[in-house]
Amino acid sequence: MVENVTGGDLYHLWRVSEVNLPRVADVFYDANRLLGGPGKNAGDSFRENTSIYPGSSFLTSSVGAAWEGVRAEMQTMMAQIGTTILDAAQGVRAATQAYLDVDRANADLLNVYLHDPLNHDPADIASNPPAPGADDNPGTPLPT
Amino acid sequence: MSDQPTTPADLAGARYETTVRQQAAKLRDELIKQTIEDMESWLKAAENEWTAAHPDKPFGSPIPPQEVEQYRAKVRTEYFEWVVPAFERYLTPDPDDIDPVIDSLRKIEGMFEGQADTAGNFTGASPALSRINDVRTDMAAWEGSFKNNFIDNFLTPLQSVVPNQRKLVSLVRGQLECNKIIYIRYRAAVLKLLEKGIHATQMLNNARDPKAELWGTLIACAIGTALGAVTGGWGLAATAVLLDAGGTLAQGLIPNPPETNDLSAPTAVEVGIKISQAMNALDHDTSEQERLVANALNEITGMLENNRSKAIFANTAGNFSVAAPQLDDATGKQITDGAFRPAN
Repeated sequence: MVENVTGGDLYHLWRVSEVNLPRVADVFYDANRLLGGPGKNAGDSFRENTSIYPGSSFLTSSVGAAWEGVRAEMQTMMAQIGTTILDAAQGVRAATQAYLDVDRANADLLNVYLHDPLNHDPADIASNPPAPGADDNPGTPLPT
Repeated sequence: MSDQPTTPADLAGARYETTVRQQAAKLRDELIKQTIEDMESWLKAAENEWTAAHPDKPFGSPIPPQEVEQYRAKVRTEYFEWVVPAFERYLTPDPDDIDPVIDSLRKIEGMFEGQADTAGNFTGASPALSRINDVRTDMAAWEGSFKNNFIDNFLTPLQSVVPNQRKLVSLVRGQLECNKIIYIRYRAAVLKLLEKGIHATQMLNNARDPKAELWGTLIACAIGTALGAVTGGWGLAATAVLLDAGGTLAQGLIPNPPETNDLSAPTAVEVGIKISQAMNALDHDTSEQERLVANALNEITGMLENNRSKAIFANTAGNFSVAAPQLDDATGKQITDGAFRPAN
């Protein structure tokens, strides 16, 4: 069974876990960061229409409170999906590693494949893992 | 959906603020001026009556002129001091302050544009999301139960979650846009109230018969009826009332409200009272509209929490969440023993 694995097979998994899924996750983390950053309520967006307790002259906004509720929920939702995607990538990475760990003969399969210019171009940004800090790097989501 | 509601220039920013302050000060001055005139004409009438009733007393009115002057000063400094602060309350909220929020939601909608076609391919605006298809292709080189689980419980649901998210964000944005429209109409009503109030006061000055000066608060937003079909599968409460931004804009950004409040009155003091009653009506109607927006947002939050907590707890794919694939928890032995193997 294990002898059947080739560098090309593992390369498919490497693409899934290192190149593609992080970029998919980044879309959700980006949405998370929009909802937690510029998407947050700023300034005088909502009219203060509700006393904080009966008779109080200190007012808050019912719409503002409701928006904060749905905004926070959506922000968590985006983070949850992004994190699930990165977890799935980690699962695929672990599976790759499981095959590399089988024996010495397997250990270099992926490395050899990746370093052959006929198979992989390390300079092609879109075919490589997103660089740290790059636009398509998932980074970290904003906590709510 | 529709174009973004844009605040008309005369209701936006510093221009609106200046107008409100100037007009409120003008209204106060007119009310003071007119009240003093009312007072003088009343005083003259009282004096006439008093002189007629007491022909034996030569010196006219029993109120000494110094005292009258005192009362006049009181009218100037005390009677209508509430007018300007009361209208300054209307300087907030600024409808444009919500724009960064609406823009962010629009951006997310743009990112999530697209859907899975019948062949199972995701076609969308975002090149990054299209990589979901590449994942599927790469995974085709593998087989076994972990691979099937990965596709069926993680990857395919991910494709169908995206349009749901987009619809959700667009619904929420619609509610916020309605809220913005409410505030635009609110500002329009404030300026109209000031204009009509000044007019009603000046009319007394012209000594004509006071004509009715009618004023109305604001038009209610359109209620979304077509949304039910889309949101049915989400388990949104049947009683949920969502506002429809497109339909609301179709009413016209600032439609003319039915004018039910008459600001005219025989004296300036009474006009002042009617203006303050009109302000109450405006506050009430605005709160009522805001209540609808807040309720709609709360309904959406409840629906979202319900969907997400159930699906995440059970680790199944939901409307707004995806499940973690079994591969996440697989041991190396399970994998190399064949549950996840190359497909050749």
